Amino acid sequence: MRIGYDTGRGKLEVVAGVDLKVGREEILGLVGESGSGKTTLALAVLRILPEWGTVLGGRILFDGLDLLRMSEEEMRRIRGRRISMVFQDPYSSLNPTSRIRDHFLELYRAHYGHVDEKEVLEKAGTLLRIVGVPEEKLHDYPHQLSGGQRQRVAIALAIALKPELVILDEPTSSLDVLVEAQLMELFKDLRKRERISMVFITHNLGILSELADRIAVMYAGKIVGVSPTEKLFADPLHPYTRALIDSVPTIGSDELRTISGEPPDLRNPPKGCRFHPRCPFAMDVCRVAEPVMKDVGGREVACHLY
Amino acid sequence: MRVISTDEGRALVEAREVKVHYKVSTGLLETLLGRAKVVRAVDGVNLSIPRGGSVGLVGESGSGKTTLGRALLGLVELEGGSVLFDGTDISSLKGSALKAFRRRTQMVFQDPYTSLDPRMKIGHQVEEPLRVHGICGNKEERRQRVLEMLEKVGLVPAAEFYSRYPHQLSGGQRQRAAIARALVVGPEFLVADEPVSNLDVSARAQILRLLRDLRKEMNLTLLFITHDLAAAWSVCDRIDVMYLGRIVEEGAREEVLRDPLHPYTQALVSVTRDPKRRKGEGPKISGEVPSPMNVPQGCRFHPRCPFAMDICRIFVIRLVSVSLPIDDRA
Repeated sequence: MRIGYDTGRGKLEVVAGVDLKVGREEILGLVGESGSGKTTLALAVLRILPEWGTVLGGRILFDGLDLLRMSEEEMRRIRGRRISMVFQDPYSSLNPTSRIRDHFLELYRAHYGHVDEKEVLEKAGTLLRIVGVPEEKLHDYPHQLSGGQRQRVAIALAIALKPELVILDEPTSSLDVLVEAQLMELFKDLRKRERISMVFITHNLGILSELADRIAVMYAGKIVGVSPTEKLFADPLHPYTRALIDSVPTIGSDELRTISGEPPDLRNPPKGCRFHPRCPFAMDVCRVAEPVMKDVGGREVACHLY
Repeated sequence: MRVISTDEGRALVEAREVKVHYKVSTGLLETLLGRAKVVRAVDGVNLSIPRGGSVGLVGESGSGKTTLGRALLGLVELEGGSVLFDGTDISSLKGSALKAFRRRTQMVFQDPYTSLDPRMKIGHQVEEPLRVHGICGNKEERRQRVLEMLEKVGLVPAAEFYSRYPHQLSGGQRQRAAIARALVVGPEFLVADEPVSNLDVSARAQILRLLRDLRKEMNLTLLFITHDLAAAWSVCDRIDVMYLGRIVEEGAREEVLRDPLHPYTQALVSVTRDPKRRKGEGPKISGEVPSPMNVPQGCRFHPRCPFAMDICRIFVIRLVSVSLPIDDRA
């Protein structure tokens, strides 16, 4: 996949040649700092890129369907029903002027036309129980719910139609840590119960350690490595991944390693490996040749060290 | 729970039974009838920071930590209690003494995007406090001081950053500029309110390291407000845990973060994930922080506490001092 943004101050490639697979019932963590392209990639899957974004090349295959070639009408039937998304801010996905019940009714109507109201509300009640929101909240407006409850409702809506894939974009980043911990338990629970594939986008590597099957790390529009979760934490291969893990402060340790410098300006990305100006192991080859993805002991890594 | 020992030296900043209440008018009638609701943001807090010490004030949103930070700087009106700075009650400060207090105390905010003026060059923004406080007589001296400060916070080459605008800087660089502006007047006490929460992982580590270094270099007394316990560990000697307007635990960072006593602290520590190690076990806490308009009776944490007993529902508790053998911790 290659996706470009036209910013008015220049054109940039925010997703610059990404290959990524999500298996059935797999949870894939997609990690990167802001500007790395992870959200853009997700928006492209649902074909809801902002107007300044364009797909420059590549294909998105979902269960054999070529999503980029489908009509808008066909895509509408997929969104919400087969692929759904949960955003960082549940305020942006919930309508402040309609009750929680109406959100469910609208969703079912959009996909099934005329629906039996009683039946839908019963289903909605069950869904709220699953995500841990009191059923009577169905009759409330979003502002009457706490932040955690709003996000739980957004999750209930995302899984309501039994989609095969749910994309979660920083779903816990705006919540308090104890509420985040509760939601992570909910996701673990859902994975057992619902047999869905999930893509979990976050800048917080730590929260993925117990949830994701595999983790892909993005830097400046490229995937630098994909690895089973255990291996990634035990022995990260790519210097950027290693640095990301090391730069998280930990209780009990006074070591505070930092990655020097700043992420590159994508209008003028570094030649060769995009991480080389910040990489402590950079060699001559890193400055000229772009590393290709290699298989190293069951892991994929794009780095000249391997 | 533990109480701060003061044998490390006289407190530079001290809060005594500080209360900050906000009136929230729910409607004209309620206001007229004097029934406006009250948010008890800070509700009886004692805190003491010795000169050169650094306290990490941790807790979830709505715990009152930002309000307490502002109270220590005299930026909010107190409902009760007092704040002492270098031995003087700050509510008694007037005129030049007040102005000196403003110079000796500074604040850094969470969002460097809103705390910097987008239309002003970085150099001029860092210079402004020098002019306001009449430090450094002439223009050239001020410029020199600003350049030194920019260098100190890692905005190098300083001359280049001097003439840049905020939008030309990354989030981390903007926070460095905000820190330079706060420190250029040589304050003794700095309140840093969630200074790394809006930053990416790599910029976050850089700023934490900068704060830790500057603290030592400039002998700063620091109140570091954060919801990230590991970040507090990395820059502070002591930790105060706040919940719904009150301090629930305080002590040396080793005690509070490696051997927490309060169930709330235990829960916070257990969810602070360390990517290098497995998650720790801790009590499972349900629900969310209640509104400070409706503070629970008794211990404020009891509705969410898995260990709540009858007594917790009735009696308000005070901080008690608990000492444990130090050699059990390392």
